[in-house]
Amino acid sequence: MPHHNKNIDMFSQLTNPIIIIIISFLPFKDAVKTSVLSKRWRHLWYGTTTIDLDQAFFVDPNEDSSIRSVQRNSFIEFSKRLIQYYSRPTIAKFHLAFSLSEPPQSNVTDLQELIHFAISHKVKALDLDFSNPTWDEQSHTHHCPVELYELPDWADDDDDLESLKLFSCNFRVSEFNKFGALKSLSLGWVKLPTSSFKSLLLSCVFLESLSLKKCWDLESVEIRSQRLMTLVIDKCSSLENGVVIDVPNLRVFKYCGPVVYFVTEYLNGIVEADLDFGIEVEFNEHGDVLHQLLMDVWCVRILSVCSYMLQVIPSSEEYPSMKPPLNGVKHMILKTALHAHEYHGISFFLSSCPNLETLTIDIDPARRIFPERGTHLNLYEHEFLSKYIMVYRCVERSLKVVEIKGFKGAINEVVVINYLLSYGPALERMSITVAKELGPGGQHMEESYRQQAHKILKFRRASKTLNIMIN
Amino acid sequence: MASAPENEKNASAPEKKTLTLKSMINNEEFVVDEHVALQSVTIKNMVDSDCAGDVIPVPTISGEILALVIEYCKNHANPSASEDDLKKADAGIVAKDIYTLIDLVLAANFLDIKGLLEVTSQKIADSIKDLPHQDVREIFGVENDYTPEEEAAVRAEHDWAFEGFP
Repeated sequence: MPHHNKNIDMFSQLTNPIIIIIISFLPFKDAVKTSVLSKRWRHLWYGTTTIDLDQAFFVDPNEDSSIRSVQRNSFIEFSKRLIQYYSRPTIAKFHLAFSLSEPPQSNVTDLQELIHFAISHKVKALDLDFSNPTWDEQSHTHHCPVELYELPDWADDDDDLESLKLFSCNFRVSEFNKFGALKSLSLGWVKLPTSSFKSLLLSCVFLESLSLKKCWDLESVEIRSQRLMTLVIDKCSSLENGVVIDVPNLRVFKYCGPVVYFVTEYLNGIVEADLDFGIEVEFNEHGDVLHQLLMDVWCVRILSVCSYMLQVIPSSEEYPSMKPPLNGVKHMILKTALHAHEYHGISFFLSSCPNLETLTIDIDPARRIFPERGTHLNLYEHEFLSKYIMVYRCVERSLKVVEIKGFKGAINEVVVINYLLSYGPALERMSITVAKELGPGGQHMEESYRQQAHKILKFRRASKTLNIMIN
Repeated sequence: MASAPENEKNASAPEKKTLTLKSMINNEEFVVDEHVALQSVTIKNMVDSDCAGDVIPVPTISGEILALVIEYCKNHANPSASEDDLKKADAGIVAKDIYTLIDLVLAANFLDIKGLLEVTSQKIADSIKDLPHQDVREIFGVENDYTPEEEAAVRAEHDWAFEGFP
């Protein structure tokens, strides 16, 4: 850009307020790093409106507890200094992550002070996370062994707060009546009795996004809303009375947890659905329940399903395919072990998504495989393994991109890839990302996985324009 | 012109007013629908207080940058554009080299167009975040006036932020 006015004039217009606006869009850590550029820049970052106080910046989880305790103290000291020197009247995002279940049980008044600081600066997005990163998300126990942090009451109505995330943090439901502008709410690691949840929804009438993660005592989720667009229910394992969704404008629905009773209505606007029952420990003939759920989200464009779904869906009466088909699905994500017990499920989706363009296969051999499945379906005539070839419409016509993650070159992986290569004339791109994990003896396996992946390059392909990338 | 007969059938639709924006750097002129230009709070204030003549001179902003600003305003004045469309269009506007982006952020700031200021700042932040300090200094015309000792002390003050950073 020779003619460009990279000159003194431009730099002289770069006043501190403009620089602070740019700094505010940097991740917090990078904002702090700008202090080293020059004397003028040294304290400019104190004006960043994106504040991210995360103990992970200071505390090394591998250190022993006495060192961690010192590190946690310096984190609190840093945080207090920040609020002392902060130079702006408002804050856009304030994130505080500090695990309470570790010593020292830092002075609660320090935390209180930080939160009041955020509120008094008219924070728009408040994110308070007092959970412990080592807690086991997969565990079925509902109780955290520690006292939860108690969110302080707001002094006044708050019409600035648009987004609130509370993890491992108790709150009073009545406080939510003060939040006149709240659009996004995320709760996690917290006791949320069904009755509290109901009154919460009555207070938050403008919600567009709701996320519930590891909420216990919550027996049912019943939502009727015209505004809600995103709903995430993640490992809330006490939902015995199921999930009722009457949300005509819902665009994104993510569910991760055990199979429960779902009632959904009018999900005609749904774009993305992620249905993950990987937490299930027992094989059940839930095929019809899962099939009904797929019918409810039939107009999705992006559909993500789990290994459990792939193993159980053949037990549905509608097997071997959806009627009507999932015509809208363009991108399908399979969280799979690519175990032979999942093959019939994979075929079910290939046959049910006639317009599929992108197929992501996310392989993790640790996914739970149920030996009892598939008693009535045999594999000898399955198209991946035999010469009785069944080619699905999407493979024949629309499938352009295949992404394979966690490739190790096991035979069950290779036969699926071979099938897609042999019968997919429209394929444009296949990317194979090899598994990073170590072998059973702790040895590095990446290179040998990569060699296996290179053998794929020699396979016969139906597509003349296919580009295979190995990462 | 109120009596012009051809206006009769359009009587219900108000006539579209236009404004002319003129870059004072290279005298390029742009004729823009008023509702497009009014997304600039600066221009809106001029129009509201009757300070705007037929041609609004825009100091310190080149024609090249002004064209980008107007493209942004046009996109965002289109009521039928979806959120996804706007996101894509914004990404196209800020797909520029860093010095153009700095010119653009200055223009957005001068003309007071919040959305443009934000997408441009975000893009600048994304492009400098992993750069070595010396490169960032060059981009912003910053002279390092720390002594090596002072610089080391500033790093030590927030050593957690510099961990693993050369």
